Amino acid sequence: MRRNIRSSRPRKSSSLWQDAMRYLFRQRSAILGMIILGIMVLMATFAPFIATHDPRLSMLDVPEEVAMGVQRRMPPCIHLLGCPRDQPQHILGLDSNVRDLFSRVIYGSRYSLYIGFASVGFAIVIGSLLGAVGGYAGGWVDNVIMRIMDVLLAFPALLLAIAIVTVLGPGLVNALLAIGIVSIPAYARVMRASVISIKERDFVTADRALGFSPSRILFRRILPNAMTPMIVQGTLGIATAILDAAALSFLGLGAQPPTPEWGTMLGAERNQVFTSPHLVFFPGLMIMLVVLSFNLLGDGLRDALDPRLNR
Amino acid sequence: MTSYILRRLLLTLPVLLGILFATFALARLLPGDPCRAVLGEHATDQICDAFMARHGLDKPIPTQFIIYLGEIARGDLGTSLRFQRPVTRLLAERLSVTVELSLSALTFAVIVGIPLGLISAYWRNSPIDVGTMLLANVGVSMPVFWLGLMLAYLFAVLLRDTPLWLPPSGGMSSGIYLPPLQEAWNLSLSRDTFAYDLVAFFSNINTFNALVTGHWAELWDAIKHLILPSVALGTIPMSIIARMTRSSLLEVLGLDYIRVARAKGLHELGVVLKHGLRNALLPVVTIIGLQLGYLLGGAVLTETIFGLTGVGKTLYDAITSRDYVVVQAFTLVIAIGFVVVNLIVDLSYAFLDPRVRLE
Repeated sequence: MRRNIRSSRPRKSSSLWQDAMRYLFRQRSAILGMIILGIMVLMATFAPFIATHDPRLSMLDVPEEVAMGVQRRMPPCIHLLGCPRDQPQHILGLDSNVRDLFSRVIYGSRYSLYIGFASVGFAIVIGSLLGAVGGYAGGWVDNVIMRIMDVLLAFPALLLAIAIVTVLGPGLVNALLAIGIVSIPAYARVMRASVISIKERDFVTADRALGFSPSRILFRRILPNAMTPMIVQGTLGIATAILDAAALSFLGLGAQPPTPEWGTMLGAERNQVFTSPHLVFFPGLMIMLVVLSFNLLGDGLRDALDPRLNR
Repeated sequence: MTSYILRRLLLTLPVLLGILFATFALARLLPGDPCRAVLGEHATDQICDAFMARHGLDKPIPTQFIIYLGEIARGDLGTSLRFQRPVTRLLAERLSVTVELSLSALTFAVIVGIPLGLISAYWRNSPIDVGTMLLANVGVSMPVFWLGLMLAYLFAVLLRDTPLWLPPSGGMSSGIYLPPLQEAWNLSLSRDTFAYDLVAFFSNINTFNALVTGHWAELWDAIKHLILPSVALGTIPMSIIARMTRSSLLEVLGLDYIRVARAKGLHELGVVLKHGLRNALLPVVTIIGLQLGYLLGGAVLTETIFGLTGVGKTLYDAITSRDYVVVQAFTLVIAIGFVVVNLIVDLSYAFLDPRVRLE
């Protein structure tokens, strides 16, 4: 009987976002992505409390009774797993400068997330503006903008980023700027496509008939409706941005030592891979996990926000 | 179809001009003084003035651009400031390494990626599907340089004394020598011709050279050196291809004609392979073409790790040593190659799918 009563009530309306979120939380892979990402965010936020040592402090610079005669590139030593008690505990071992690798890996999450969000944020703002103006204005404005985007797309992204960083000078900020610049075309294209499809809709025609200015129509009416594909593209874009930034740092063009950035750590220790693989393995594993989390989340969002998919 | 090809070619022209301008500007924007980067810190102003005049660098920038366009039109890519050799010769040597690496990485990506996607779609929503797709997701998330180093450690150190041992660097074992093709075939080519560079290009593709001249031991050695870099470079495209094959196949398998094929009583595997896969491969072909840009970018990292002197490594070295003639020429060749491949992909797509032409 209760079922009948409930179904006779008018169905509670739910927005696209409520539907999407509900669907997102039903996908196992998206949840896995959110869990990994959540752990990364917690790690970045509480890095000083999780890290066992100062990430930039060499064990050579601490009193001997604390360092207890540790060696360079010492492999992981965990007391619970049978490492002798008279050795100091270093969960992931020590690097070539006798710094605690675990602490460096923990602090690295801050840089990775910062690079991902900052470079993609930059690219989304510039790319959306270019794409929206091009798509809305059409004609030669559109043509000029899109041909410039084509030229940018004609270069392999990483090579272009390397070239830009060389012009600007190596460093973390310049690296994320370079990655931002090379990812602009992707967002410009997505935004342009949505704006073109939305500007023919009836509600835009109505706005025009009411005499609203083009900029008001574009920024208040069209852009909010074009945001959904950008969110998907942006989430997946963060994954690529983090990978490219790590590659730049690996080549010595991004964050500079002794910054505990994962790509930089990997690049500095790459010649030690045959003797001390732990120095390469752990930073790379972290890069993979954070990139994986954004990829899983992005795929989940794409499925969740796609109204064509029947649930 | 002809009008579509013409339209598409016309759209490519401004992009090519933009690329020419961008490579020119890029080389001029590199910080530092090319003269002192090449001749050393102690070059006097007088020597540097002569150097700039000899390379035409004292002329106004627009004039330099016109001269540059003229040289490109004549097929002259200039002389490397650092190596003092024609860039075309350098390109013939280095491009072969990258082409060989990219092609073998792409081959790995295709022959592993498509079956993975197929398996996943055939047993959709089964543990096999979930496992394969998780693997593909991990595959696209791995940094190339990390995967490369870890593979090198696994196969060169951990498996050192087993038959699975693979060399961690270089294109061939030291002491193994493959004669250039013009020697093997007794060709007498003068050094400054295009044919000479072309033969040199194919000679430097070790596997190709060894295969056509029948040096089987050398061929095996070259292949062994190629495996790890190809797997490292090919893993991301492999995962992308697997995911694309799966989603494209699932979409096709929901169509009416597939229901008809099933209703006729055809075996499910036959339906998937003969009716489904063939039509599902169209978007996969596009994705494969688009991987080229990624492969060239990833080649910088793979070549650095595995000690191969290809285009990526040379370009990276040229950028850091301000050899801007090489920077200009190499970025130009890479960008044009990329545009041409995209053009071919677009045209083949229009050829395969009539709807594209009418847009």
